[in-house]
Amino acid sequence: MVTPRANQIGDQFLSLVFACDLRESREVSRCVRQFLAAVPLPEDDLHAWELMVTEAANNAAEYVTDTGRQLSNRLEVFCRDDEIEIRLTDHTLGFDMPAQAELPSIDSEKGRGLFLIQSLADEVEYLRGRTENCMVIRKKRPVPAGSVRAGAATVAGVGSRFIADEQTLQTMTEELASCYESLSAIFRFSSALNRPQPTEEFAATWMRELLAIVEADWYVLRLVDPVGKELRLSATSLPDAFDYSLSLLPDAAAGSVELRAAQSRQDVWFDASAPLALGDPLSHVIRHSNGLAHPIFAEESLVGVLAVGRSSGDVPFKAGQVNVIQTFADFLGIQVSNARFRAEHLQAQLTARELQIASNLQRSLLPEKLPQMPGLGVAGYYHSARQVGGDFYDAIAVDGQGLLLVIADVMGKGVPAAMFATIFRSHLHARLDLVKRPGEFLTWLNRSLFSDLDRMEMFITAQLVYVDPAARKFQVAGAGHCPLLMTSDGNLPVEVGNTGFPLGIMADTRYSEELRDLPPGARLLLFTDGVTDTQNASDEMLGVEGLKRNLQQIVNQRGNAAQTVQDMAIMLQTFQGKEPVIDDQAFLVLASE
Amino acid sequence: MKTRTQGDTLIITDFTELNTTNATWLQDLVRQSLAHTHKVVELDMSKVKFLDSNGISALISIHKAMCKRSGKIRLLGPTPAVFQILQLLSLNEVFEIINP
Repeated sequence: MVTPRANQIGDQFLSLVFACDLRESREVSRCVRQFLAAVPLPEDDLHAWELMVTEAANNAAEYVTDTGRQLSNRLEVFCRDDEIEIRLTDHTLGFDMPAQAELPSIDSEKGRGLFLIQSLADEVEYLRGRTENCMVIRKKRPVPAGSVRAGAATVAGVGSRFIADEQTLQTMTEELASCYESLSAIFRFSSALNRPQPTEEFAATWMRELLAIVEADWYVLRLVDPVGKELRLSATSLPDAFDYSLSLLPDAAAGSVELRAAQSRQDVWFDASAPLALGDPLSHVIRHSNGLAHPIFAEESLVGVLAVGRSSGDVPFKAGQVNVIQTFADFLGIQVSNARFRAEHLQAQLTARELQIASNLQRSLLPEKLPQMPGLGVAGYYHSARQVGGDFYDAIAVDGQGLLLVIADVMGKGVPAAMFATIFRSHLHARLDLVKRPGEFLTWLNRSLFSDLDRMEMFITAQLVYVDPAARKFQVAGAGHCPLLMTSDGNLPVEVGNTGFPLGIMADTRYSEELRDLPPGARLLLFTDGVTDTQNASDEMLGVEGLKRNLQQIVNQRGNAAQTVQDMAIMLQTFQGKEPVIDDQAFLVLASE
Repeated sequence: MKTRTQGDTLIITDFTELNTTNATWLQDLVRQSLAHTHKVVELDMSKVKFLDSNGISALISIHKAMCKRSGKIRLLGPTPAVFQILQLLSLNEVFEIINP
């Protein structure tokens, strides 16, 4: 049997180097037990450590690779005031350690080693590297009863001990110093996470720290674009030539090591034995390099890929260094994800505010009270969809003799649509001298609004109806708006009104008007397409014919304008059931009373 | 390790550990010593201070072999350290354990 080579510093530190052989495992665990017995530890803890070390070393020997068999395993024991930590560095292919290994079935003869280690330890980590991995096992030291002076005793003990191996002390000091650097950088990194900083600047600063900590020569950090289609350069230590994007679409060629990491959702390594592919853009500058591409996730979603490497191809990252790279990248993933969440939240707030403004604007346009004429009643209805649109209606009494009915629909949603509805309304009220010739009125409105609408690439559909109650006639003119429906006793409603171009399409459009009689008992329904586009649970639209049938039934009730509007509103709500309102619904009813 | 037979029981004594180094040896020993008349394999665990997962594997392998011939495995007087491990792995219910 080969005896492990040991280095020991008092009762603080033990380092063992041993061949990768199952027979060695037991010998190593005996050495550890002997060392810990002098600490001292109680029998239960000694037994637990003896078993954990055996299992870890068995695992390292059992799954060693052919190349790894030529290398020695290393075990280090750190005794701290409150805990013992053991690190075992192996040369296996490594494995994904579960948070808690499951106990195999009773019949299974294998698979209990990791379960035992996790059950007996307080904390187990498995750091994976390219050529080596490191299992870190920690267990609290029991507090001896009534030993408040344990710390003082330890200090005194250390002071009185003669440390023979100066080189070991030097190694240990360097290791501690390097750990301290890593830890302090990670702490700075963590505290910076709480500060809102531009992601690129943040990433570049911290990636420079990372290079120093893990002794790497270069890095490339790419983040997934907001729509998730490509990896875009965020920061790099390489020349500007690396400012290209990598497509994440499924058919993209995966020659790139970064894409392979993104697609496999696993670390992808490259070194002399697995060099970067010739098709990989990275290979043009760093052909002979070793390192890894690590995919970065935030809650299961890929947010980017970090590639880190060394220009000298023969010194691979140690397991601990790989762990630092992964930790940095994962922290960065959280930062990127938080920054994006903040931006989305801000955008949502802005949108909500915009909708509120648009909604207020929209409501301010609707007349508070509609004019009533002798023998004619007018009532209106407006129901806003979730995203406020530009529906608009109005009824204006002119010189106590006539009545102008207006319905309009500005294309688009939100504030721009509501703004144009306001402009439309102010123009309308500016030229009430034109009400008796609604066609001419539309022609003037189109000419006045054209340049603004054209510039904004918007348009308005509108319908103007001038009613002369004394003559029992009305004139109608439309600009791309759906015809109104006229009902008369015993007949199905008929569509009235020609439709020209919407306002804002052609600068010199001339609109004509149609003169019609208003039969006794007739009703006029002016509406926007949100009414006929109303959908039920089966995705069927109400349509013009559906509207006509329902209107006929409602009119048969012989209600006044307000009652007709109320019945129409109930009909619409019944038809759509619980389906959300897709578009604004507006309509205006004129009823002979 | 020593073996002797008492009635239908194959008794194995004189070992202080059951681990990687002697687990296979124990399995071979049982295989070679087992006669048709044996219904029980009894291991004297009273001196065993260390049992690892490979030792456990050997015990389970013997247990399975004995079940096939309608027999069983019996652990005699396991030390507290060993009993704790058996308990941790829920094997104290699988093997017959006798505490004298």
